Amino acid sequence: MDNLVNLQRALDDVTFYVLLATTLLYWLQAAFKDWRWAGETASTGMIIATLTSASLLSARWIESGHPFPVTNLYESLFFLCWCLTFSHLWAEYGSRQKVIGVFTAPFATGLAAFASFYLPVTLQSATPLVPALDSNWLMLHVSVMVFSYGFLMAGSTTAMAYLWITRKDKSVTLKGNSVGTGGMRTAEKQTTTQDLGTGNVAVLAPTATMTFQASTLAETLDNISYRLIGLGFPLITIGIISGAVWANEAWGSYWSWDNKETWSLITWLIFAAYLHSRLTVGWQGKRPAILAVVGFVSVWITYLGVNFLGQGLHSYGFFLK
Amino acid sequence: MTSQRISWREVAAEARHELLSTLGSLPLAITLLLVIALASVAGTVIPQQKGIEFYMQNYPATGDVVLGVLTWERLLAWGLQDVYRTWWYLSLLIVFGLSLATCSFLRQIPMLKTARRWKYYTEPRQISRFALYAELSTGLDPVAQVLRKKGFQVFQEGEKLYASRGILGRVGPIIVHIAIILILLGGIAGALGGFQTQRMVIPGASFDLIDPGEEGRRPTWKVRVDDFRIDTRDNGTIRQFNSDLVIIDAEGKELTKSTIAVNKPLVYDGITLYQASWAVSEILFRFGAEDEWIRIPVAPLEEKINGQDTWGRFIPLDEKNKVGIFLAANNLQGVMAILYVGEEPTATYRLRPGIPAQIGETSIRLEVKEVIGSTGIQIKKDPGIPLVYVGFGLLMIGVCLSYLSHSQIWALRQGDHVYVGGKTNRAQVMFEREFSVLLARLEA
Ligand code: HEM
Repeated sequence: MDNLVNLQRALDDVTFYVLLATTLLYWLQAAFKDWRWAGETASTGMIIATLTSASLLSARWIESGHPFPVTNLYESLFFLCWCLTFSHLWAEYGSRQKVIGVFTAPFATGLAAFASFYLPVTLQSATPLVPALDSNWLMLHVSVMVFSYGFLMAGSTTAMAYLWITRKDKSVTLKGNSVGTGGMRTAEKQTTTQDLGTGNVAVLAPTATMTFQASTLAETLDNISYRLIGLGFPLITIGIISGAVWANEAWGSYWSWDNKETWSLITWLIFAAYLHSRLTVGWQGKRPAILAVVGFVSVWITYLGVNFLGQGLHSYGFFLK
Repeated sequence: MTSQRISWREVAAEARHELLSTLGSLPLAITLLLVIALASVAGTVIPQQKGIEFYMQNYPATGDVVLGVLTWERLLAWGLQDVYRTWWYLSLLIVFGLSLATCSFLRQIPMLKTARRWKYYTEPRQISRFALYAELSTGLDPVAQVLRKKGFQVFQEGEKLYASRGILGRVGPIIVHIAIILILLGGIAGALGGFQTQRMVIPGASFDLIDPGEEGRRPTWKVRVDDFRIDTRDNGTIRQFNSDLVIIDAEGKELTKSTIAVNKPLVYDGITLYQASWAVSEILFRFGAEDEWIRIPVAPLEEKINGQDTWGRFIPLDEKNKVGIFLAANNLQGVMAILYVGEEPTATYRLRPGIPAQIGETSIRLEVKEVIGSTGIQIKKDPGIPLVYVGFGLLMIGVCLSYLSHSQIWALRQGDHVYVGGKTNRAQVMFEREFSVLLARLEA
């Protein structure tokens, strides 16, 4: 057991330092465009952090024997950190764009730092479950919720990258939405490409036979952000529903307006508004991205802020109130 | 010359049209989503359902007025002490439901029809309008083959080809919207046809559910609690709470028996009984071996002791010298006795049931016989549950489907040229990549 605990300590430190270095590398690469090595190393750093945080959680799993290692704030923070690095890698692979890391990496670093340095050691150690938490629905609920936070956060940070890239443009049009406008050739597209000018390489180099109008950097970021949130949204929906079902089975009320519950609903509503704003002509452009950033703040309040707002059903380690 | 008049029926038709198109419009939907979110925030910032004194104290009418406007009178007048049950919050939800219903039936189902409709293109010009477009020199059959392998449904007629994948992504949002309507309806059904109540019961006692205001909706049977136990692990942490319940009819005849626990309720006659909470309610003790047993009720303490909810009661022993003992318990296994001399606690003793103890240097002896707990039972009937659960199921399916991107590809052969173009509605970036890989494979 002691070996396992020491291993956890080591993994948690490594995760933090790797993420810290990764953040700096992403920033360097954003500042000096031709430092390609910085971007490459940063991506490797993200992969390492994903692996170390996953190992940390597995070690916990083995140690505690719980069906899932998310029973206190420490484990939950590292799980979120893993989800964020994981969805970052997904986004970076999907878009082939490193600029996303400028925004995701610092938040992942913050999570690891908070868990390993700020939390008192008593809160870090594995604890047995209180009866109300000992349920499979709850395991599903907690892990899916945190997983959705990871994707929603990565989607919002990608939206931040998008806002950053387009900060000088007045208006931009979006491609991805359920109506599917934007599959057509546009005349202004070329001008947009030039306006951006900041080394935005089209994802694909057109060959002789393909006359692609490939997405610009801004469009790519926007679309990847949309897809990440589009994936986070079903996850948070399933998470909220599994919580509701659990609450109903455990104490007979699927909704009780507890603070954390209400904030997850607020987050859900904001991201629903985000998805719909993409469909609305008058709302396109940067507004969806701004809504995504509002959603980002809401995710954080849902995840952490509520624990400081007041005691409810969800403050870590409770029985029933 | 006779002049024409617009009939009232036409006026009404226009009004109806205007109303429905506004109700079903996306800007209204987005506004509603955000307004409901904002209203919900209010309920998490302002403590809900407290007594009037609480608001008078924390939201004063003069001096330090919160935000400059939020006096307790306004707060109460606007219903901000119980946001989620105010008429305006419920109206928002109702308008939201109506908006969803209008939108689903007037916009989306027709939209689905359009999305399912497709046609072959017969001119290269039509295909070259797509942002993703290429000219190949392969035949049409390899294109069809590659697309099929990629999961497309391929339609082919002579020189023309159409392929589609992910049409379910267009059905998803409709399922989502209908599911939300079902959940809202289920909530209404529960609010109108159900009830919810809690009881704290000491083992041995029984209770009924009759409520003078709502005879028809409440059953006439009673519940007797035979026992309440807390199971602990070896290290003292709580594993489970159990209550032995017996349902009895008005004459006391036993109808059914069951032990309920957290996550293990009893369902009887459409009503569910849950193990929801517990409390220490009485302490049974005596002073000397010859004294009578004394049963005193305890009350929950404001402050936790050792991080746990605690119940207790002060017993004055010597009024003149202000000597007394505070008995406190946070489980059913023992009692803490805190000796007070004057205002200050001087010493704490742990008492186990059945073991008499001397309290410090004093002549006080104490013997606890039993810590009596009461079990908190939540009783609920909610006829909306089936509807809500169906809604939950559809909602989960619908949101997952809504992630799928509907991709369409057209191809046309003219001479030894094949023109290929396509689009997708959600995953543009991935589709671009997929399209180029596809073409590269065909070129090779
Ligand atoms: C909490 C409430 C709602 C949720 C969770 C929700 C969910 C969704 C989702 C997930 C999509 C697919 C979005 C995408 O393509 O990325 C969608 C599309 C859509 N929603 Fe909603 N929606 C809600 C309320 C509404 C309301 C009130 C309206 C109408 C006034 C509405 C109208 C639409 C329309 C027109 C579409 C696009 C149609 C389509 O793709 O078939 N939604 N909704």
